[in-house]
Amino acid sequence: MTGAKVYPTFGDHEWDAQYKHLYDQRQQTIHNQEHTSASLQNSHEQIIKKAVCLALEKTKSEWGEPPAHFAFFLMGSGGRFEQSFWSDQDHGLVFDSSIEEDEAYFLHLGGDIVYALEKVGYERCDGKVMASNPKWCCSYAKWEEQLKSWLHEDKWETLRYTLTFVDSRSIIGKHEMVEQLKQTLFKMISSQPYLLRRLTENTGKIKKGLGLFNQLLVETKGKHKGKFDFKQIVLFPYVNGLRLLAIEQEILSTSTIERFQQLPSRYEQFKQLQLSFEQLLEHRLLWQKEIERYEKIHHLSLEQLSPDERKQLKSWVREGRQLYQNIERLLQRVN
Amino acid sequence: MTELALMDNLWVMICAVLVLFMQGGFILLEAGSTRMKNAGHIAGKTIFTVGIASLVYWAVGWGFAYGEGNAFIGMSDFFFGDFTTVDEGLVGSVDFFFQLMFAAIALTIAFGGFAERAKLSAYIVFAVLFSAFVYPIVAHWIWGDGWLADLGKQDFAGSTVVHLTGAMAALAATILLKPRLGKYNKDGSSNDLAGHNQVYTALGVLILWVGWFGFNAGSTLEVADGFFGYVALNTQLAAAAGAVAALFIAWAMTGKSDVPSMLNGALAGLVAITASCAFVAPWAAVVIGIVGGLIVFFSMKFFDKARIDDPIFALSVHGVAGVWGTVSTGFFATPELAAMNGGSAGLLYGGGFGQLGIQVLSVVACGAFAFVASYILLLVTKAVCGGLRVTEEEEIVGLDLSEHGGYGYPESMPGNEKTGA
Repeated sequence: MTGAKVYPTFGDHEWDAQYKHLYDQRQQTIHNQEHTSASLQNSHEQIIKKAVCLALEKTKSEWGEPPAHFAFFLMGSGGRFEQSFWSDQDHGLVFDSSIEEDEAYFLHLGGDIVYALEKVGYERCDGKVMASNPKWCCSYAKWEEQLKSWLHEDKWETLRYTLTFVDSRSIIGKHEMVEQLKQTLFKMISSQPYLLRRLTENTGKIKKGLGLFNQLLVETKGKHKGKFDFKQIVLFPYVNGLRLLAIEQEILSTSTIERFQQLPSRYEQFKQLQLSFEQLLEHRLLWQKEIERYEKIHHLSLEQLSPDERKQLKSWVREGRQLYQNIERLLQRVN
Repeated sequence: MTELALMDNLWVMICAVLVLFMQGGFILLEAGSTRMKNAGHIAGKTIFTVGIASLVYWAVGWGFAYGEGNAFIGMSDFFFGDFTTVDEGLVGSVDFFFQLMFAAIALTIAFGGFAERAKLSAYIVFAVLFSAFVYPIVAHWIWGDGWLADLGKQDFAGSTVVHLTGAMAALAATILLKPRLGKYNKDGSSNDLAGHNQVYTALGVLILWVGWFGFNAGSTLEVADGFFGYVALNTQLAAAAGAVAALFIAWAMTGKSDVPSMLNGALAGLVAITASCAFVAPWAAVVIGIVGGLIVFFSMKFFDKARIDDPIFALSVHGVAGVWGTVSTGFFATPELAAMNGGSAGLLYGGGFGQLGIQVLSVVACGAFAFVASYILLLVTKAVCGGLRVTEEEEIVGLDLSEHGGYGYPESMPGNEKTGA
């Protein structure tokens, strides 16, 4: 028996019990505690890592050790360290092998991860940006190929995938693989400067947040009728704008705050908004604290805001839009 | 009969047909603004209720409106059948035919408040009662030998007589029927039960717009001096201004250039100018249309918030805009046009508050009468029909199936999909 690793021989019920235990832990550390945005990210990170490790254990117990080196990475708000109390899954996987059976192994692992994360309270991604999807679970070589073809195709959809990948951050496995892929991507973009303009256009549609009379605009239809779309209107202009600058400056960090920090000093006009963005993230947590379901997390009830808070919110709407437009102009001028 | 009189009769006959054609506009407007499962019902009911309105108006409606009687009701000329000719003006049957079409329009407006939840039997009974006892009375007061006509009330083509009367009945109906299932949540917030076809709604509005030239320009009742052209001009300007104003205000307030709001703005402009089209200058027609387009937007929001479910916006388009249109002549009637068409000049032309007062009085009196009378008659209808509203189950499956046994869109309904070979 020397050298042979012993895996737990759990049935499905036992695994579910493990996930349930982790879900309870999530309730404790995320929902039953006061948080700053940073402390909330740490709590999420721990829960997600534990869930992914459990899923990995489960796969190992059924399929054996991973057949190659790999890295599991988060994208979206998780990748950027900007999750709210509830968030959905956005993740992918890269592995160092081109053998077909190995791909099956990692896709299976991806499926186990999706299941585990769902059980601990992270909803599946509607757009299927998950490691169980062959598009987001590839060998290193295929990832390189795919990134190249996304840029080459130059369609709205493929550029949106590219931007999603820019926010990838490895949390388990061989982190360098993700970093190298991103560096390769940055090089591809810098060699064809028009791509930066195309990427800028991709996120250029900013949802309107203020009406003609300087009033905050809410949803007029659908299940969020009467609510203010905080994510699209306030958060996205900053996030999308700074991501573009990160691509231009080849900054590997994924958090918007770190992207602010790592901008060169000649971008002082943008850098000075970092504090405002940090405050925005903190306020968001304050406003979203009572929201109990993921589908509602991005929409605010304006009635709960004081007149001062509304004023503040309006100034973020204006500032974010202005920031994105300035970045847009800058990148179009440079390229 | 002189040639001129013959032309007058021909003109009014053509306009009567145009007003009848407006029912086609209502069919598309209402069907497009409601859900698929009720489309066949809402289109079909318009046809048979025009039938009921015609029979009842012929039997008693015309007599109550234009028969000889007192200041409140006419009491002769029932079962109309006058075939005698005249030298000047309209022959009785042409006049009757034109007036009948207005009565039918008022009834269709009233049924806006019934949409998507009233029993078919309630439509039938209320069609009889409204066509006999509500519309003709108001018509008598303003257009017959009634007390408001004596005061010099200005309502050229019926902002009050037709639109406000119909809307008040719709208000009574929508209050008694209560909101549609799923319209309001427990916390009082409302859901958008979107209509199933904006293209129908837009086409419906255009057909109404075309028909409105029969409604307003036809209300000259003559071709002499070609004054109908001026009336048509004002009508066109107000509708145009209403559409543009509503589109603008929807965009300014919500950030979205909402299509139904814009369409209702065009209709509100038309409803508003209906009273004033023969009394005001073209610039005033534009102002009247703009205000109509703006208030209809806020009115829609108001009723939604007040938990009054108005599926096809009859209260806002015909009621609120009808009030505004009637009152508007009190501000904008010019001395020359008032001298030509009755009443006196408005406030802005030095006419003082006299005409404005009469306009406000007529709105309050006619609005109150139409509401109270309709409310009582709806209670009668309720007693006769054993309730006004279909059961929850019937409402959920839709009135096409529950009231008529077939769908307006059979192939789109659950269980009826064609599966192919």
